[in-house]
Amino acid sequence: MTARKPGLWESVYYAIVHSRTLTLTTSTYLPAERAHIDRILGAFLEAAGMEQLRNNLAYCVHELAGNAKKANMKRLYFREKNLDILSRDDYALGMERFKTETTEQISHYLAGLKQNGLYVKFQFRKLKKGVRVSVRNNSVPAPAEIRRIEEKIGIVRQYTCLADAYSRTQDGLEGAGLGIVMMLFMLKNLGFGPDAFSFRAADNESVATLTLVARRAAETEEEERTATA
Amino acid sequence: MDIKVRFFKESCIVDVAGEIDLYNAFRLEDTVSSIMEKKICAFIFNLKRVTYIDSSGIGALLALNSMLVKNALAFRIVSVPPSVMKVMELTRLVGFLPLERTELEALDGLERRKGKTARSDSQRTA
Repeated sequence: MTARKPGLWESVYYAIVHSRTLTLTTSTYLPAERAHIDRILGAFLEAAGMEQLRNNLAYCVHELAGNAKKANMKRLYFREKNLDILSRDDYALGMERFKTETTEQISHYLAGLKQNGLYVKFQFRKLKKGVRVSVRNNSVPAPAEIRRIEEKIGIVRQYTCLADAYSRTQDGLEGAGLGIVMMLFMLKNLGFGPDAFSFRAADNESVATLTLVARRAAETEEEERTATA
Repeated sequence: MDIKVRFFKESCIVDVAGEIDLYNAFRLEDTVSSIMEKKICAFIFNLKRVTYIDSSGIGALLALNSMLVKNALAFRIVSVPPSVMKVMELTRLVGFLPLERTELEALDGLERRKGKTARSDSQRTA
């Protein structure tokens, strides 16, 4: 008799109870997969006593996954157009039509992601007092992309809210990068510290990680209550 | 995403349904740009049937707000679903974006504003 392969929810609960990393991989990240990720995130957050943050943190995970999928699609598009993503001129040329063409031929590009083995990988891990979620994709970020993310982190440190940042640095926020800024403001406003988000390039992958420790959010809530009392 | 446009007096009401994301958010700006040349004083975006909005969607609303303010046109966002409202609250966009509870309230507010402007204009000429 062959051993039965555990079902997804068995794997989810095993990972939660034994603090193991649960990995799920997709190429297309369509709405149905997004709903699935929501439910899994919900289970991990519930185990960490953070279920009230589910919708907000799901939003952050979706932003990261959306960015990861876009980065993969960008590589695929540039490859098809024979453009070098690392060349400044080619990059500018490619980005002129990237959004329009990939939107117009979405089925072709979604199939292309799968055929070319381009993936978005989710890793969930229950921590002692929280949850860690990593979103990995197999496109190494260009130095300019890492720089842009660092700039966004700088913007969030400088401003207190998105509206303020947007009205003062409108040009720099339009298009790519607004998602990161929004996500960072959300994390900040939920009471997570600056180390809740990290981004790095590792072994042919881009890795974005959310380290969500319940204590910090709870402490901030307590601080706010004390301050307003 | 599905976009439907209606007109009421000098206001253009844009009904948006479904998901607003990276791959379709630009259509919001395209819709407004194509109508702006008509004799329109205000744009009201009804988000009642929006099921999901990502940062590109929020970015499009921010860009529309700037664009319409620059062109001296009124802009209102109405019937924001709770999930979208939560995103706006957490990014502290409530108060920055012109949100109204219902379409009726937005239209009423715009009418009153128009009446006030007309009254002050007639007082100036008197």
